[in-house]
Amino acid sequence: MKLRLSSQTLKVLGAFLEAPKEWRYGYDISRDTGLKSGTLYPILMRLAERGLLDTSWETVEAGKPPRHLYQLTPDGLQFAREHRRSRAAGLRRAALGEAKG
Amino acid sequence: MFAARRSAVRRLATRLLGLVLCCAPRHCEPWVSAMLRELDFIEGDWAALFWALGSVAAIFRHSGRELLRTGFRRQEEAGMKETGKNVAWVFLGVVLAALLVVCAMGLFHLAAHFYPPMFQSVPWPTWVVVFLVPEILFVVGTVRLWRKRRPMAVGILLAAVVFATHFVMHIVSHFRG
Repeated sequence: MKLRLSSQTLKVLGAFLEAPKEWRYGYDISRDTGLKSGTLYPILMRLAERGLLDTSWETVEAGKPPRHLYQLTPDGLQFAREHRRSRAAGLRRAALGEAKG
Repeated sequence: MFAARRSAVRRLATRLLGLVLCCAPRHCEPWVSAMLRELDFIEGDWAALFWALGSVAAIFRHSGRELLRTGFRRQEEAGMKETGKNVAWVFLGVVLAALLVVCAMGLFHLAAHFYPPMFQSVPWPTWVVVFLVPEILFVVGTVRLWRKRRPMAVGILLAAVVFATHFVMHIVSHFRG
């Protein structure tokens, strides 16, 4: 299945790439990317469905509810890096085209 | 007063997501729980309510899409299974009808063997044994099975039509010759 790479998905992938080894909370990603929960969670679900995102429940002391954590899988990291590179190359080409034109 | 209203808004947000958690499909439950847990860390009650509303929309969209996908797949599979079954019943009807015709032919040959003059002088006993009796049985079988096992009835009917056409063509060519 192909993942639709909207600008919002790229933002989420970008947020994960800032600290690839860290587990992130949903609300933190939402604040970093400026995406609302209604936009963020469908993206996270799709990434998880395609095996690009690992999910885990935080281990906390008894009585405190755990939070859900997210981290890109190795495949997800590769996917995000490739797309960031190709996007950067595309932007460079566009900038060069504008400069020539 | 304001603090009480704010907490009521947060409570509403929590209840909303709690309700969704109760009704959500199994595959969505961890996601709804995750959204619910995040509520405690959102600064501002109205922000929490908007978070909950957005989460509800996300879950509805996701489960709706999932339902459409799996629903169509199941329907497709069920349809294929049903078609396979129907084809098997039609085939069985045709085979049974063919067996009946073979039996009638055998009976005709047996009768011709034991009493040859009857079949040599007039053609109608042949027609009765080889054509009329099987066709009557086909029609009766089709009518009886039409409600209970329609595909099989269709198979028998199909065989009856083919057999009747073959018989008519045979008679026509015989009388022309």
